[in-house]
Amino acid sequence: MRRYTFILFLLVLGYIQAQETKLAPSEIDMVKNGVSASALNSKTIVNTFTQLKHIDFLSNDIESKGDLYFKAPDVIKWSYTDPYEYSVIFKDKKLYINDAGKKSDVNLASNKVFKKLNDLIARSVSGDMLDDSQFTIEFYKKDNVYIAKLTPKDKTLSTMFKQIVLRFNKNDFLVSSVKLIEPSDDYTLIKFENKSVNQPIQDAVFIH
Amino acid sequence: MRYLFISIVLILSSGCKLSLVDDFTESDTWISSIHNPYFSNSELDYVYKMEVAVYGNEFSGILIVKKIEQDTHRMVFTSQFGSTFFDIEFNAEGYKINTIIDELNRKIILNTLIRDFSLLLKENDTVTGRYHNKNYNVLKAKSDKRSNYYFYTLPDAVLSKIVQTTKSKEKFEIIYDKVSENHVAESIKINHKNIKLNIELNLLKK
Repeated sequence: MRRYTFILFLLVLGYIQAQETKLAPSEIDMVKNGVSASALNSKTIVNTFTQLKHIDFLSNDIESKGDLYFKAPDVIKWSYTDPYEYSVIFKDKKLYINDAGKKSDVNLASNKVFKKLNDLIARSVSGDMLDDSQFTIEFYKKDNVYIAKLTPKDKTLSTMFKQIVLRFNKNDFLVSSVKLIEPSDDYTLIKFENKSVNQPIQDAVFIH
Repeated sequence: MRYLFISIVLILSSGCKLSLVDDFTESDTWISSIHNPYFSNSELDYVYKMEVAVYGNEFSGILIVKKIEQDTHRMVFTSQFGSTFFDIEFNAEGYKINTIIDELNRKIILNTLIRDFSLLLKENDTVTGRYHNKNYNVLKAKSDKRSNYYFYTLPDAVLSKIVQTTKSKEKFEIIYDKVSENHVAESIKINHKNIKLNIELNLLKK
């Protein structure tokens, strides 16, 4: 009986270790360089995305879907198609919102917040945010991804999120998901799929 | 001159009188309590798109309401991106703010929102008067210095509107539309009468 318990213990331990392993310093440099090179090389990115909002007291996560367009260095469009049509274009340091046909330039409740958030997401889409001056960063690996766990140093950002978790594909160093964890442990998880990199995006996409 | 003064006072005072149920017939109150069913099912996640128009500014996001205990609702308003604008708990004693962004944490805005949402989530009220006409049965309830008028459409007796008033003025109304069988209103509007604040809620499909 004891032997089985011990084997079970080893199995569980093995399973935990297979979950996430902390990177060695040399690996961290390799990942940082890989991500940075990939971000530099990504002039355009087109993704579909699925967003899950997890709130502790809800029975089900709230799911949204849409398309994301990114053009270096910082033009980005989030085009939600589900549960309703809503798009945000971030360009020329302005936010252009199209809320089911209703167009606006600014967003009352969220000006500062939206900007911080959008900047954060724009940079995380391209991977260009592994910046030690703004975040305390820990690196891990698991299966076919590298994981960067960022704790914000910026006050505005840290009141919104206690941690931001980015996952990168091991093969191309592109971001496969972003998890924004709030101080309450509720989170928003954005998963990217159907990545197309450096394919031309028509200008019309970014017209408000 | 004196008559002019008296008539002005009369006109003003009659102008100030609440006219909400003027053309209604007052009748006996045959029930003592009001039950608002729209956010009362603790097994449901109520998820709405919320649009707020306040003095020419508009913003929108997702409003989530859940009855977490008897007499307690949790309400979270998030941006489309999922960041939280506010997270407030409403209970029988009042409310508790878990988080709120600075832009909304201003006394006037906050007090107004709290009052609106307290009525929106208020499940039970005590009847103090009843009125009717051919379209509506109206139940009146007193709360502090204000009154709530619950309008039920006839003949199906569906709660279609609540109006909150002071003694002399209508302050705001909540209008329910497209009500499903399990007491979920697909469309809810909150309209203010004295300030430029309108809130629109549309149920998001599951």
